[in-house]
Amino acid sequence: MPQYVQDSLNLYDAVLFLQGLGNTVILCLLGLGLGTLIALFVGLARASHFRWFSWPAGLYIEVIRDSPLLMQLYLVFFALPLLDLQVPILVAGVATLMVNSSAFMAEIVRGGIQSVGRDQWEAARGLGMGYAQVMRWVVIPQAFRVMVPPGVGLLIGLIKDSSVISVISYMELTRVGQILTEKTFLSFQVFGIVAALYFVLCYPLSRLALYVERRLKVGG
Amino acid sequence: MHGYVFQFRPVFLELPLLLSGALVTLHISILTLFFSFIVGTIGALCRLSRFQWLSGPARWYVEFIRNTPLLVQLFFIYFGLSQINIEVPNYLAGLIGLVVNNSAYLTEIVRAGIEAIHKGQFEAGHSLGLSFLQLMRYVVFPQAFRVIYPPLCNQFIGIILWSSLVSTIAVEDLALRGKELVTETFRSFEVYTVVTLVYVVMTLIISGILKLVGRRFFRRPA
Repeated sequence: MPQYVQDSLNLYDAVLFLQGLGNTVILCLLGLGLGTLIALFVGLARASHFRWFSWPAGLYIEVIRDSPLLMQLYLVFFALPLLDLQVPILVAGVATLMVNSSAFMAEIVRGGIQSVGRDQWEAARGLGMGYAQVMRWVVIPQAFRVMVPPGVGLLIGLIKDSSVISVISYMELTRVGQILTEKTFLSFQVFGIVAALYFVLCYPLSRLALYVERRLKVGG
Repeated sequence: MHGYVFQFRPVFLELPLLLSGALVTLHISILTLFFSFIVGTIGALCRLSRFQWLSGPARWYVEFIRNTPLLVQLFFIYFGLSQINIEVPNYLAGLIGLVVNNSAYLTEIVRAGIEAIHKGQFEAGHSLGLSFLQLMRYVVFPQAFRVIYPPLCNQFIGIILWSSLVSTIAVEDLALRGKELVTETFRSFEVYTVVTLVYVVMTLIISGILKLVGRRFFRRPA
């Protein structure tokens, strides 16, 4: 009698797991990279003394931080067709993670900028530097070291949160787990492996975040 | 945008349905906070214990849960249990998943709270002849709770938002009600806009209330 249900995991499934892992990494790096670009502007606006800049930025950050990622994903996913955009699912996933991470990153950017003392500003202005110059040469280099540990923390969060993108059936790690569960019914083993792979990705990063935090603290 | 007309009316007509979903979201979130706080407190005591066989497993529990996604944990519990023929209702599976997940975070929060208490307090309690439980109950915990309260509130807001993931295992919360409404009205963008706003308003109101309560009862001693 032919077997229709595959009752064990084989080598092809292992390749599928690794593909999912790779797609998760791509999704997160693109999402965080683009999100950081937006966050630079939003964070600067949030730290600004002009209300026309800081309030809209504050509203943007607040709404994103106070709504579930799943809803943000649905909104992006269903908004793109309304804009007459036919895009691959990857783009919808990246766009969602970009918007989501930009709000959290903006707060990190703001914290970094505000951690640089006022006297630094005044000294740089006294040397005749413009706003952009002060930012580029004085504030951002110093803010950067403050931003790295929470930035790594954000990346860890994003890797875990990217599992939600499986809902729109992009083939990242969690989606691979779902597909293999449907194929083999071995949900314990499959999701055990999926969890272990996420752990392998995130645990070294969380150790790295701790290490970087300690290293940068010593420098003062 | 080829003449797409936004229609919020059919969504607002079904607002009571959405709000009943919001109640389920609140319900599961409060239960999650309650049980996670108990498990988290036990976890924190284990992590701080002198005994390796208590602190070691507690540490790895926290590390493992915090470095894997909630969605995978939910699937592991929901589909995994059905594989070994344990039938768990969806709501219970969702609740267990959320509790298992949040207990790890609360373990760290409670641990930080207990560690913030000065060593002299423990010594003074011991020399008064208090037992371990009495020491915890009357000396450590009342003080630690003031430290714990603000991160606890943040965690609760996080629980409300992330509880939306239980909709993927068919718990009828706000997110799933929204999804059902989409299949009824086909107004996906409008429905999810309203549902997102309900989440935002809900979390803003709750964090406002929690802040007031904190200012009134759990102010940190200067």
